Amino acid sequence: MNALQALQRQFAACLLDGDTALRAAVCTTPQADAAMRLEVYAHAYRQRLHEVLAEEFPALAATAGAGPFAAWTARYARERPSRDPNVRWYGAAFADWLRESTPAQPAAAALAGFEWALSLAFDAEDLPALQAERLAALPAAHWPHLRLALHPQLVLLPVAWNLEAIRRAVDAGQPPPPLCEAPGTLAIWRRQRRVRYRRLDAEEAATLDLLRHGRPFGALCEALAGRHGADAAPRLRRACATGSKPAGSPSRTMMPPSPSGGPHSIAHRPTLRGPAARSPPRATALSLMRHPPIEQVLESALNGVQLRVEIVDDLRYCGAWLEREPATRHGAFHLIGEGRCVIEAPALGGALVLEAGDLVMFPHGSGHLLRAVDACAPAADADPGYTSMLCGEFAFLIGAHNPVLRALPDCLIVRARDGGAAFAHLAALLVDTSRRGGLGRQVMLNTLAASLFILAVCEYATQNAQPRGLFAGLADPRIARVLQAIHTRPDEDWSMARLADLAGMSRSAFAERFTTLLDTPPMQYLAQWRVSQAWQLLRNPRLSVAAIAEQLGYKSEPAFRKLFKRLTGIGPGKVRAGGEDIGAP
Amino acid sequence: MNTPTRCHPHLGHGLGLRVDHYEAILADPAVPIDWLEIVTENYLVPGGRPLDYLERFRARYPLVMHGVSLSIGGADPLDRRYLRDLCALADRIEPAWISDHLCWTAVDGVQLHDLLPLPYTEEAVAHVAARIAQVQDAIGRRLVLENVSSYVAYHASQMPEWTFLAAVAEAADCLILLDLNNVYVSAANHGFDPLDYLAGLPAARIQQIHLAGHSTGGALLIDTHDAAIADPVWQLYAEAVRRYGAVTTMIERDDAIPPLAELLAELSIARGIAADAMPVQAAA
Repeated sequence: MNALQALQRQFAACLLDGDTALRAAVCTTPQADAAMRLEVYAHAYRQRLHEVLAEEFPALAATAGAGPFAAWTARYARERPSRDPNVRWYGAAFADWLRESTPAQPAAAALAGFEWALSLAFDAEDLPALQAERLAALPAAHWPHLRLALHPQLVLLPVAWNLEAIRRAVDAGQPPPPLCEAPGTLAIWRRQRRVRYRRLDAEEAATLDLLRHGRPFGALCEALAGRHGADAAPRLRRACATGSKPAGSPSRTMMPPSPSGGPHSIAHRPTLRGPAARSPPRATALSLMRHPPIEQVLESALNGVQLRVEIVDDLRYCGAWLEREPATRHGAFHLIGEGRCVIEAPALGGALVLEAGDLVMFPHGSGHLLRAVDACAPAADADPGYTSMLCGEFAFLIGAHNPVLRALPDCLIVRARDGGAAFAHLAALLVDTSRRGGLGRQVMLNTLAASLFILAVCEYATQNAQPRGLFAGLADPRIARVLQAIHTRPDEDWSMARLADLAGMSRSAFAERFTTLLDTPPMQYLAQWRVSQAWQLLRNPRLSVAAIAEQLGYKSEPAFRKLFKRLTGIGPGKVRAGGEDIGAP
Repeated sequence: MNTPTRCHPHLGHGLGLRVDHYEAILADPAVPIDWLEIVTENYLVPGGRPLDYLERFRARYPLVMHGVSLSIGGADPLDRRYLRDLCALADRIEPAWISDHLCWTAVDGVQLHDLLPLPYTEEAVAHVAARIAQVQDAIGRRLVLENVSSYVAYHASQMPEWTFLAAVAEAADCLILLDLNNVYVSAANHGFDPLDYLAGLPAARIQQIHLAGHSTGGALLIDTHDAAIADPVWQLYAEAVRRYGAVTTMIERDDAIPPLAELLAELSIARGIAADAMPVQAAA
């Protein structure tokens, strides 16, 4: 133990336990002796930790009384010293500690648990909620089987007392009501930066509980209809009312105020002083589905991809074999059917063993080498002694300049063990279709391979630790918001200022960040996206070029024609005439 | 020896960003604040209101990240998770620089949540300098370290505080955030002359100045950040500008937070002092 560590341990013992050994190491002056000097630190330590808890648990402090609450905070400081560098998390174990340390006062621990849930909701991760518009767009036939998921941040807290009434009074600067028994469920969530909380009625709690257990919408309806008959639908809408509407927009399917009044809200984290804001009675948001920008952006981008796949070989190797594949203009892939093999490619930086069911893909057609696994390498239990694989080429009929494709690496591997059940089924079906032959074989192969491709891309988009291009943009929440807006609303009158606003960045910082990640300046990305959308729309002969220009936010048709030609090399009329698919954006 | 330079930009006169002033600052695009300093830990959270506001401020003002729990002088290994979070926030908001304190805050994994003084020894200089190098590697930029106020001096110390601060900055090639209120408070508590302190620092390494208020607690001055800046601290500020030239300056207020206008008035005093005290460029 060095001198510095010894000194710091003595200091900690002085603060935590009032140990006096450190006094010998500290100078005494006529102005103040060592004990008095150290007491400045000891006092500040106790005071700071007490204040953190008092601000985090204001209702508990108010109901317990100053003396008992201070006794708790002092004991907690001794028994659960802080372990997180950020004092924000110091109160994390307080409710549990109270539960163990004050078994005669279970309500105190419960109140602390409720207040900590409010604190967590305040700065929990920002996850988007399901939009009402999206639900409204679902075909009616889907509703009975629809499974909604609760928003990860909605907390449903079973309680035995009137905890929320106590907190509400304390936040309003009023004396708290006496503690009384009131069994039920509290809902805690955040909306528009405010933490909200409200007691659920028994029926809402039961419905949300069904929903939480993954029961489809139809089952929820049946459960409610059992109790209310024809009256069930509005009740269900109430329980499923969604949030995230733009402020000021009319809310149609929202919840009426609950019997106990609207939800109560906290604009600041409890640790921050100042009166907690209350909101007027209004609709509430409970049932929410995770719907991140990546989903919308990927779906819109992949929508424009059309693949043509050709299975060029269905090979079976045994012994010591080696296959060198030169670089091609097309993409290439190999799907291992049985056995194992080694793949070598510059992008991999070495050799990798592929197992049965693994897919390796070279989206940009870079060269690579396949060979037998070294004889001395340990073989899997069920090694058949040979290797079979499906080798294919793929080309993009539409979408070679698609931002998703541009963001793909030179080599992409999906392991059978990571790809999930859908991937395994699809891969098996592809192998089977190739071997079986028969009517419609090539069309089916194309469709299956396109699906396998999309699964692989999605796997890559979510698993890859070092994203580039579009995926790097989607990994930055500010840029992701902008990408989502461009992809879903290309027709809006976007400007650099508006896009930067959306990102919450200055214009220059935004432009720099976007260009670094996407390798394309924001307005150019927007133009490319619009043109790729136009390319698809042009295939619909019922839409005039003028109508398409308008749909994509261009004020004049000539301006749109000019831009289209500049970005694609040909005019929209030629695309319309057909035969110009290869190399389309 | 390295040629010491202030590698970070000069930002002018700023304020510490506090929740009480969020709306007042956002409401007035012409508010005379050149930049904002944030307490890093307040924004090392998953999401919600703090980060939402931070994004808005970042769009309008240069930001500086000022941390309180790096424990650069601690005997424990550096907290890698904290450093990772620090880097993630820095990537997100792109601060002009990142600062923390020349002190220690944790031992054996127990966080004391206070800026505790180091003994001013050769051993401590070497220990801290080596850790600063690790931090600078992690954050990919030069660290700016602040002198803390203190109430104890150790028998083990071998040099005055300013010599220690200068030695650490030289050995680690890092920059200094000079808190003049802390200099004044420590000078009163330990009986040294604050002008000796200013004279003992390498001028070119002083990246930033902090101004704040303090209070009197019995025999000792206590660094409370809950009052207006005291006259002797203003005088030190004038002296600092005379010695070091124009240095990025901010006012810290953490308790008894007054309306924004009061802090703006103090900021305006700081600007005036800086303008008056700036050494006149002598004709060649």
